[in-house]
Amino acid sequence: MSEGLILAAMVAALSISVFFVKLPTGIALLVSAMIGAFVAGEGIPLRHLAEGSMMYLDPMLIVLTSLFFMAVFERSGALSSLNVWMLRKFSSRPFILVSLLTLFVMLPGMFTGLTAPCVLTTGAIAAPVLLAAGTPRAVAGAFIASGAFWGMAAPPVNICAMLIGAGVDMPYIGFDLPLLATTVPLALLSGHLLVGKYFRGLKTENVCELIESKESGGALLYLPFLVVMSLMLGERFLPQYVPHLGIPLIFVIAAVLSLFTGARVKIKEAADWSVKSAMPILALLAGIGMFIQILTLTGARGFIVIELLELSEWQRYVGIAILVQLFGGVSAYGSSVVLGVPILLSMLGQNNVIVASALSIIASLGDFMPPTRLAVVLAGPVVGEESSAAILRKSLWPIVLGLACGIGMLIYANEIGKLFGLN
Amino acid sequence: MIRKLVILALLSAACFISGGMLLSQHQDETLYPTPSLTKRMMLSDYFSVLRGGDGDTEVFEYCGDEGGGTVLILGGTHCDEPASYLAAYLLIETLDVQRGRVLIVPRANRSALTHNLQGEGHPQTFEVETLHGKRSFRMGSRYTNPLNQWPDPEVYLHSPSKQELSGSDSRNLNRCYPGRADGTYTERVAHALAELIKQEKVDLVIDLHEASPEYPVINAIVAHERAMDCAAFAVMELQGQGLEYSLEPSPQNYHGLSHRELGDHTNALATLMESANASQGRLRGRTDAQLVVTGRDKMYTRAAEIEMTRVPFGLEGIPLDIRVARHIEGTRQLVLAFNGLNAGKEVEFGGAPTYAEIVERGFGKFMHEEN
Repeated sequence: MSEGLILAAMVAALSISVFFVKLPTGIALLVSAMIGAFVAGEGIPLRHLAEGSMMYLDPMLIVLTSLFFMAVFERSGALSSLNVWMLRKFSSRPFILVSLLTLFVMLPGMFTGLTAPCVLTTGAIAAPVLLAAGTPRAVAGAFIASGAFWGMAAPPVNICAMLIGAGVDMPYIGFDLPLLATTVPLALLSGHLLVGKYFRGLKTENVCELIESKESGGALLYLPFLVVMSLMLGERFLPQYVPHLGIPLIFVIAAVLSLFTGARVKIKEAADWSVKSAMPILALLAGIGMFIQILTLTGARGFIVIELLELSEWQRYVGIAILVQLFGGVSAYGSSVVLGVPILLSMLGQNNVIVASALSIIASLGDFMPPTRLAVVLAGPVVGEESSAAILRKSLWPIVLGLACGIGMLIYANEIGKLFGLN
Repeated sequence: MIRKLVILALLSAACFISGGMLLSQHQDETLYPTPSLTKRMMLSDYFSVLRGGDGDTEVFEYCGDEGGGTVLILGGTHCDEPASYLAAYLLIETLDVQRGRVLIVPRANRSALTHNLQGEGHPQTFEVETLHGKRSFRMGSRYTNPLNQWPDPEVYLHSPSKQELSGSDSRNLNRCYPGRADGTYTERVAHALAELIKQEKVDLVIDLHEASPEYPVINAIVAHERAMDCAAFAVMELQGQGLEYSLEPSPQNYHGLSHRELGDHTNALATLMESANASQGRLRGRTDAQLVVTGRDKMYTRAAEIEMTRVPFGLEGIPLDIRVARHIEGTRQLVLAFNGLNAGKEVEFGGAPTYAEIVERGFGKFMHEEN
């Protein structure tokens, strides 16, 4: 069977499983992978399915441990206390408050190149402020997902750009300025477009009353969050002093610390909540890994790439806008490696740094895209919105701005490169 | 309850079977060195911290009767580049050194041969026709097995340059040179190889690699600036034989690569060779053992038609025999060029088949299982 038909069979199996049989997406991806392997004559390739399921082991552990940290940190009273302080300080200046909230949500992503830590740490801290200001839950979720996306693409750490560069032996040099100049202003614009209207005319005291504050722990309440940030940043900037622990272990350490820094936390209840919230996401990530493994095994992945590269120039821009972010929905890093590198090689006449930066931004948009919608799915429990589709619908601004920015950078790569002194 | 137990039993069986398959990849292939072998050492002889671990790997020494220089051949730095370690295996099983010394490390990153990269769909093994029937070889990964080094940092800071690379490159041996004695698992392997070069006073390093057909540096010899003359003569000779080769200078601002760091941190002339391997490319179609061996891929043929490949790629593909033959011939020409430039340090060897012989009969026919 040809690669195109195998791909069609996999997509059909996925669609039927999700929309008609109503299977959870993670299980539907497993079914689709098995159908793909079967029609390709591979039978049931147990080893490939096992290997694929482990593809996202690290993100799985990050999701599980960061949700546990968030549960314990929130229950210790730290979030509400921090939010009351933020509102008292800045609510009379809503422009500054929204800008700071945006940059605050972005921060972990700028240093990890991931959306999950943004949504689940700084996003979780920002969420009560957003909700107290009257922001609808879905919009608050979109604001957090937006900050996380821009944080993932912003310098100094943009893993997608690193992966694309590594594919052509291009060092990660010269990316900071172009990425900073594009991501930060657009992140602020996205933030204000999403929640600006809810913050205008904010009455501090009224809003503070909405947040149940438990300030008994004082500054000690924030220690776990400081530990998370210190270990993440310290590992990067002071590697001689701060050991590499890995993000999951950092979250576990901070969660344990939260048990002693604020209100008494029922640990079993927090653990139950985090496992229950994480389970569908873990299944989704395992399913996606198996799906990619079978796509590659059967040649369907190569079919997608070559179909994109065979398009004419303008068609290719449309193809990039659709395929790079959609593949990013399976994995932003995977999209960078599988599609980003060949696209960069097909555009070698253009400024490499700007092209790789642009592709990294478009690939990072994948965290909004199905099937994972990782940033959106994670934002759901953070803002208490059950429908991730509702959050996705409200995320139009960052998606449109990210896409316009990425495609614009691709088209005018040489001109933009000259602006930043890159030749 | 019964339904849950059935699901649990099925999952356990799946884990047990697939776990067994994954474990089977930890078994090293048996190699059959020629009688010319003078010593079989371990990399841990040069850096004892590696002893007994998956990073410890064999070092084969072939000494000639006459003194001369020392050449080190590295295969299996990236274990999804099979021509790199198969060329080293072939040399081990055919080499007859008359002068000087040849050291061969066929599985430079041995840990990388014990697993496949998730998401790549690679076969665990592939078979090659030999005089004694089919012989099976493992297909590995570009990276050290996460069982040996995990978790990856988000950003890998190369030492000593402080260059930033994606976290997964912390498990890429050819981004970890010159290595660190107190570093990560992969950095320790790199450090041990640098120690071997220093302690054995290696004159010429030839690091064998493969790359995807769309990669810009392909069918090439990459050389540190001190090795440039040697590589230039070799490339001219290879081109004279009708083989397409380019000469690429080692980038000065891209750190961690063997040709850059071993050239900068040891006295050896550092070179690296690349052949075109469709089974590691991003444009490839069906990924199986056939693709590894035949190098035929219709997606790459389509890619070549739209000029997306850096090498001609017709329906006949680029078979493993040709890729191994290129590495053997490239190695021979690099050594001859080195001899021409370094009187008194010559290294002379025979036994290894020529490019034409390998292409005609297949490299498997020259491997000696009966030794």
